[in-house]
Amino acid sequence: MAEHSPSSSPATFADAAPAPPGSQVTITERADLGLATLQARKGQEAALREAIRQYCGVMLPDRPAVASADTIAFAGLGPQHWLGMADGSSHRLATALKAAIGPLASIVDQSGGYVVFRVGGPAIRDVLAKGFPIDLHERAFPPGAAATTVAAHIGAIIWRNEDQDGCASFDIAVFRSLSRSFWHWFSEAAAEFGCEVRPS
Amino acid sequence: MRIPCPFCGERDVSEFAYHGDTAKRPDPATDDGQRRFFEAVYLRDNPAGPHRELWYHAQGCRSWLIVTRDVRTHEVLGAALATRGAA
Repeated sequence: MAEHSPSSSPATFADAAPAPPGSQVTITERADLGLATLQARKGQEAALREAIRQYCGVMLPDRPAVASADTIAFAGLGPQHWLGMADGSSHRLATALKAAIGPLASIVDQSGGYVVFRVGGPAIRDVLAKGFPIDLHERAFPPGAAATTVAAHIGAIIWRNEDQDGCASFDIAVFRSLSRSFWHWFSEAAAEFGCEVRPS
Repeated sequence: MRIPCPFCGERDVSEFAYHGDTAKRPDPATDDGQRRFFEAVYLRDNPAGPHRELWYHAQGCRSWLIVTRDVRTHEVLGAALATRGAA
């Protein structure tokens, strides 16, 4: 695993209470995730979309949504601005993207910049509703939807995965230096439902 | 107050930073720059009604927006991405 600043799990979850029986919320860190932001260079958006499609088969979304193929995914963060992610690739993702698409986009490695938490369980929406000022209801935020917003005043990117174990599953990216603050908020917000910390 | 961001959808005003109206600032380097700046700052229009202004979606998609807002009621009448020439 690549070395990041000390906020990576297990340090993040060092103060986690043991999960009570019947916990209704789960959280884990997506460790060793490769992250890179892409911003299309001026006038290169169409060429960038085609280059990414040829590289990995993904059509870059033009709205706040996640598109994926195999082990790589891209979330739309803003106009002509995406977050790329790939399991297990760590810092190699940005290098690979730069090699594949060259000067069509500005690419910055974010693997050490963000921590991505995966959260779920039957009560997860009740927990997130305490901190996220956006509607995460099934109708407003289906699987594949993404949003850049705040969570408990911490800048956060959230996207919804396919349901897991019959429950909604979300990924939440926060700046690594704020990940312990985020975990503090999350553990307090989830306490009433019981929170199970799962190993990465 | 909620602002309908063209990219993100409707969001609370706390995600945005206000910049001011969309009127172009005078160039202070021109010969009559001081007079033009005086007029722009002190003699500008101050309409009671719809107003076009710049907002930055700092906690969202980080886009600059042109928002049309009724300054009497805070009703937001529309929002568009502030691309070159849009103001």
